[in-house]
Amino acid sequence: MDIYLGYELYSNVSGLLYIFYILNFTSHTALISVINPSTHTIMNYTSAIPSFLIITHANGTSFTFCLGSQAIPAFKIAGRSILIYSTSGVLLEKVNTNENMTLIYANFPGLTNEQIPNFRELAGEVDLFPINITTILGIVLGLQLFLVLRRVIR
Amino acid sequence: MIEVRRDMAWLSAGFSFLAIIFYQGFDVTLGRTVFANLYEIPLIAISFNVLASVFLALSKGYYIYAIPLSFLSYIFWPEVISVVLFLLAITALRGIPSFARDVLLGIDAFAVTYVILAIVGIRINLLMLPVAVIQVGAPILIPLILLIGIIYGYRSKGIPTGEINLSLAFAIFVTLMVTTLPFTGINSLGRFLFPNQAPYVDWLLSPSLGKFFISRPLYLALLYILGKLVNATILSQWQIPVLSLIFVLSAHKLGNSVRQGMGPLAALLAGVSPTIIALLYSNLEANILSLSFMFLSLSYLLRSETGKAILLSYLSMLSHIFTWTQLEGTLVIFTFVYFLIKRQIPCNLKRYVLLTGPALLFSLILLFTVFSIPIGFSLTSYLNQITLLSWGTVNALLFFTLSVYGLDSSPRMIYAIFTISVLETFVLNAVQNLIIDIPFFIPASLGVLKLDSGLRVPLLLLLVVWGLIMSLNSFPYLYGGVTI
Repeated sequence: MDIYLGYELYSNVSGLLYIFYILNFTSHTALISVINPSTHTIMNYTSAIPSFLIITHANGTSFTFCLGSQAIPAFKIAGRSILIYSTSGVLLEKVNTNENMTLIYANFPGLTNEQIPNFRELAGEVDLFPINITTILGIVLGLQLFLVLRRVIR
Repeated sequence: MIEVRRDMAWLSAGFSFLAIIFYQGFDVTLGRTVFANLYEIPLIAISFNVLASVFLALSKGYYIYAIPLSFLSYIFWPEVISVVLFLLAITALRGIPSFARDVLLGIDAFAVTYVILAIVGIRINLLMLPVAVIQVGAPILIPLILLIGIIYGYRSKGIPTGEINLSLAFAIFVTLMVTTLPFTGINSLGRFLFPNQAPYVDWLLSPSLGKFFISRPLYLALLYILGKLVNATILSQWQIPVLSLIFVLSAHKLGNSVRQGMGPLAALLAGVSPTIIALLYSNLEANILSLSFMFLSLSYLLRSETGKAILLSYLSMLSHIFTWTQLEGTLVIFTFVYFLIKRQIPCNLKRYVLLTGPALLFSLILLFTVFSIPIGFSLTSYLNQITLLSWGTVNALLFFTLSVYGLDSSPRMIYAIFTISVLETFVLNAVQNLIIDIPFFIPASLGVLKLDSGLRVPLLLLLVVWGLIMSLNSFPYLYGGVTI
């Protein structure tokens, strides 16, 4: 099952790009689609980050990562590319020599906590179609409206 | 009285449609998040394939070969086989059955309940499931339906004589409701200005004469002047309702040019079309202004007022060059094909093409050199652009089916725009942009007028409610403790 996490606007040398993050739980990859906002087309939808890179037990130089107004305690790992993880182990940014990827999710529960957050929770995994008393009341209302519409609409 | 055999074919069509959904799962947009591949259960898909083939064989004996075909889906390509079965079932259908009205009204009732409760603040997603299944369930059928439309619409029939009572005020009310709901208190988190509205705000804050400006000078100039009067943030939000209003009025004009009195219906369908919904989700402001000018130009061209048509065409070019090139290109090709078939060109069309054609050459050179339009075709990219780009706003199967149904009575110019744009989607890798520029509301209105009178209002209600649902889900909200 793929879950669409979010998107961001990102500028590089060639101009402004949208980046879409789509998580795939079966192949354990995060698909990143790059969208060109002026031609409004998907330019690249194959680049995938393996999920072990997205979420991991991180150690490194600690510093504070600023994301919008949020200050997140984070680690920086400098290798062939610079990786920045939150203390809870979520990849925040990956900087290569000529590219810069920032992971911004639809939701941030548990990002500043100490433990590794639940991956599905991070993606906003919720029961979209629950069957509970509200739903049943809604269905009853819908059925009543159906009977009304049958009479009213000719 | 409906024969039993006829209903069997409908059952078969229904089961194969459900099989397509269960094989791929369906992608639904809730709270500006696309939840992809929901209910992806291949085993159910395969059993529905078998059921569909059995009902198909029961409806007409010679479809018996569908049964071994359906069992093949155990081995390979279940989605292809379910699509083949669906198309077979469609060929077995004879007319629309009496239960269609009740089914449509039932779906309407649930969707209307969803919208009313969502406005109050209670989200019961199950209620929108039936309408979502029809609209976004089978994106794989959209390219097929559009291709079928090219063949179906080829033979021109007269404009239907049906009447429907609608007023322009109602169409405007519905459109403004669709485009302003996200600015009201219903958007309790107050998050609306998304990064995709940013290019225009960014440009306003630091105006420059780059590529962005060259592709849409008129629109940016208008924004610049207005930006001196109004705050940039307010302007970037309220441009959406204003542009939708302009778009709907141009659709009204074009509808009236096609058939006197069809304007309000065309305006209503334009207001809930994928074009307006895509505007809510993506930065297509300049495109919409350009489209509005071009539709006005088309309506003057249909009325043989060539001078106004040429002026508006140039305004459209200055508003957004991509959109204009697509529509202008189709008009030039249409004129050329018209000449090949009839060996003559109507005077107004000749004047229009001669006076705007040179600009097309210029814009084509600009497009393929400076802006580098992506070329190529892959089915994955095609379906991704339908289901994921702009949060799946052009994933509207019912709207396209209705348009294709009315295509054979549309003016040939509209048919040409449809055909050439659809063929372009298989060559250029900008599927969504090409699709939203097609004036689908004209064939869709003609399709509504062609329909049985008992089905018109339920179908229109369904399309309107879908527009409202997409509008209500264009911003994140709290659901089950998390923002979606």
